[in-house]
Amino acid sequence: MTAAQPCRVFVVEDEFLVALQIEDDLIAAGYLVVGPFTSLSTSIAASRAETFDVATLDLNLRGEFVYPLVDELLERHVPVLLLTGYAGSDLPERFRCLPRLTKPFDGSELISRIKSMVPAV
Amino acid sequence: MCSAETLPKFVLGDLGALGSPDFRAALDALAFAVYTTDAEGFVTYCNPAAADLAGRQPELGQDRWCVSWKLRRPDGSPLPHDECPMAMALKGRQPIRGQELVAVRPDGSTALLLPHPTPIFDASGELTGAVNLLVDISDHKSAEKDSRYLAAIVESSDDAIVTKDLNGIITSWNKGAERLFGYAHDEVVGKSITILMPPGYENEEPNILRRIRSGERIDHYQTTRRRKDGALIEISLTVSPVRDATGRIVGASKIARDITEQKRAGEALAARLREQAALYRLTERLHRAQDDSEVYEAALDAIQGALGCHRASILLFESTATMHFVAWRGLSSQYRGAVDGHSPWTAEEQDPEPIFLQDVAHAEALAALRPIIEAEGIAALGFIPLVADGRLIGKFMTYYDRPHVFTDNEIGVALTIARQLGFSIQRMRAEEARRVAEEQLRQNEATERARAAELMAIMEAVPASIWIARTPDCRVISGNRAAYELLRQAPDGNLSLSAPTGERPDNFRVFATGRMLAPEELPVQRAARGEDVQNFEEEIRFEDGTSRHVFGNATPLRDAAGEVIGAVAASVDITERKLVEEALRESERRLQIALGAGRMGAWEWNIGTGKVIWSPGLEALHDIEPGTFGGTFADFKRDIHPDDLPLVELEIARAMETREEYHVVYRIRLPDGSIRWMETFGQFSPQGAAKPGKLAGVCMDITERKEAESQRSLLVAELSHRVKNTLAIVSSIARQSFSINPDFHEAHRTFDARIRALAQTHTRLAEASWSGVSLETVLFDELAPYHDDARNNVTLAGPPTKLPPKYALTLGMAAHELATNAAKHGALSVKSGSVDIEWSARGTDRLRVRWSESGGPPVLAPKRNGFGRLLLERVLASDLGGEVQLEFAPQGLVCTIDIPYPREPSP
Repeated sequence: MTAAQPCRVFVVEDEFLVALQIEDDLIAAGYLVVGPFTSLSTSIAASRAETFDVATLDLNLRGEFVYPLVDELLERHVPVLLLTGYAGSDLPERFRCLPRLTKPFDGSELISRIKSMVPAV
Repeated sequence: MCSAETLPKFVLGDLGALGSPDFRAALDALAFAVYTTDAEGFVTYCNPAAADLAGRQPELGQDRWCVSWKLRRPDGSPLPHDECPMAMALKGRQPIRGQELVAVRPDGSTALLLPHPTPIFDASGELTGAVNLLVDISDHKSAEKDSRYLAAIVESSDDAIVTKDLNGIITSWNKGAERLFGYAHDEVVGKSITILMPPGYENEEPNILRRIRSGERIDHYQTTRRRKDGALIEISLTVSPVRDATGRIVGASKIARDITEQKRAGEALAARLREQAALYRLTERLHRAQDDSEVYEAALDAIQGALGCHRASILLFESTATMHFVAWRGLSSQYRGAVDGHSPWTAEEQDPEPIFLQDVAHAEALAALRPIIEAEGIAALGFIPLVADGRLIGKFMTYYDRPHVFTDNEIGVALTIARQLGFSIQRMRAEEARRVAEEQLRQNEATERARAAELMAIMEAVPASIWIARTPDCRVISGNRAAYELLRQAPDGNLSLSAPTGERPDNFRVFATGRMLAPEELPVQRAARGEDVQNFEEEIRFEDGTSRHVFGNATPLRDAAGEVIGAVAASVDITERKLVEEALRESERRLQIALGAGRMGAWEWNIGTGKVIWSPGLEALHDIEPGTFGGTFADFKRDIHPDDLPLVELEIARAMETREEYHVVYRIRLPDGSIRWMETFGQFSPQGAAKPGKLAGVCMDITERKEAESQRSLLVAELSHRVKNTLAIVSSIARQSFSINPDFHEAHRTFDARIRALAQTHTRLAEASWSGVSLETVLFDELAPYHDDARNNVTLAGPPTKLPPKYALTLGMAAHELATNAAKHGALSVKSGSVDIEWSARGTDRLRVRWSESGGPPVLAPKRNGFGRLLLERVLASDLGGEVQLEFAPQGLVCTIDIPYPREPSP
């Protein structure tokens, strides 16, 4: 990662209004947004095609859980931030220790979380 | 002469029976002389024979005591009237007999009379008089006539006939006397009779003479006389007085007979009689004897009496096979001690013979014992064996002070006594044995009676009812108190339903398994036919509608030969148990219903045996055929989910440890592999026991509940997700609304309207339980605020189309943006404008919606992308995967939305 190459954030969020906000916030903070993707299938396909440094994933994509993608990303050692309205206890055991942001969240909250995982530049 | 007519009346009356004229006539005619006197002795009657005898007619009422002129004694001396026998009888108030007297008639002749004066008493015992019968014993004529014959008889008599005078001088001596005494006639006539008297008999003659003088006759007087040769002879003497013609006693005649042989024979006879009497007494006493000592005493008495020895003894073998004294007479203890145990025979001796030692001094057999015997003063002795049942049991001994010849007769008597004694000892022993046996029997009987009483007491005391029939026909059945109480009958009544009408109880009927039993089907009656009736159960229904249940057994009563002679039955009242059982069955039935309804099953684990019982319901929960559960703890564990088995085992261990209720929730795996959730509760029984016997409880399938729970948590999570998502949307809308529009108030209104629109769609979805909402409703809701009065400015046209929630929310927001834009800048901002919305399902999987405005102010393309456009172009495209075309045509905005339309609403 170099200064010329801004940090790329893979965004999966089926609620487009929320996705817009995430996108706005990340761009404002100097990140490059890959996505947002709104369905599990398009997300998985995109994740394999695109390169990115970190992923923010909405848990529920129109009834489909994003877990297969999470597993795949964890396997690829990509840092993952879960964005969800669910409580931690609703998550499968193996995902409970992942960084998680509960909706609705503040833009600055999101950025600081992302920053703690990967610096923007 | 005297006649009845001359008798005074009062005399006749006093004479009682004599007063009868018939009797008087009889007396008058009598040949015997009879006269009577009054109590004072005055003659009151005299019959003709008496007057003839007296030779005079007595003066009645004047003559006293006697009818004769004068009286003399037989020896010739005068006898005063007031001393005559009649006077003595009246004075002494008793009859006088045997006193002869001589009556002297006025003519001087005499008569020797034997008077029979007899006093007479009336009924009260008063002396009323006397009657005298006079027998004339002087018959000179016949005596004189017979004297020649008499002399011949005397001479020829074998008996010695001797006469003597009152001084005892022999006056005649016949041939018999010569033979008997050895003296010739001439040697003794004129001599004193005392020459015949042996020494010691000297006093006899004066006594005889004295008695003769007084007129007495001596008959068969036995005495001893000495012959001329000095030999003593036994004679029998008859001595009579000899009188002269006037009746005066002048001497005596003696008839003597030699009775030596006769006397010897008599003595022998007497001895035999004595023996016989002794044996008879022995027999009688032995027969009556109550114990051994009486037997011995009787035998000793008989030995002494019949064998003439004053010393005797009885010895018997004892268990030691030696003889010992059991009874004795006249023996010193030293002697008994010295000879005790000696016996000429052993106990095994067969047919022992008696031994008689007639002279101890010459008895060699005695050996060392002889000095002892002689010291005791015994000179002769006999050993007589006692035998019973052919076995020697002992002996009896006779002892004599002088040498003694044992006659055959004595030996016979001794053997007779021995037989009797042996038999009696045997009898006493048998008697003793019988007595012991009887005592035993009595004790047994007493024991039996005590046992019977005990049994009776037990029978009365037991709470069980007992019935007894003592005949096979069971016409009478009695019972113990409990039986009478059970059947509500008076004690001692007949309890048999087999009894004839009127005798049998009629206050109850007996049922078994709901059917009324005939009398012959009842347990006692069946047992009385020989059947062993086990575990019968009956219901006794009383006429008042109540009933009792009994349970028991009946068994035949048999006599010693095994014949059935009755029956006995015992039963207990199980009514309470029945009720409890019924209640238990009812509660079990309710439990089964409850278990079935609640998808529950019951189980029981016997900790001791390891056996596990499952109710059919529990088997159904485990999806196995009824009755196929293996019945062990291992079978139970097999179905438990391996992840949950440790928990179950832990809970069981904990419950056993704490004795508290067992409660655990676990999963089981059904045969088809599916997983079910089970919840079970259990309790140990008996409760409070030191060691639990059973763990029993219920188990229920809570899979549905578990699923519902998980559904609920899913719903809660979903709700949370949606709410938070919605809030995120609201937050985004707010940012879009407020960041784009510089006019705060305008932005605020726009924001409010957007939120309301969003809320409206939420409301519609909520009304339909989030199952979806129709496109027309969504569109209508957004356009309704802009309808004109006639609702002509908005048209909606399309097939019924149901939108899933996500579609409804997104399309709702899109419609809101289009409508507000139309109202602000487009067709709905003027009265002439209108909006037409058409939709169609293209094919089966796409929805096409066309929004077209007309009649509004001229359309201008927007200078910048506002929120509405962003929403339409990007959100619809990205959220719903649709294509949106915005055409800013001059006549009005046209928006075309083409989105994939799912056939069924997505969850």
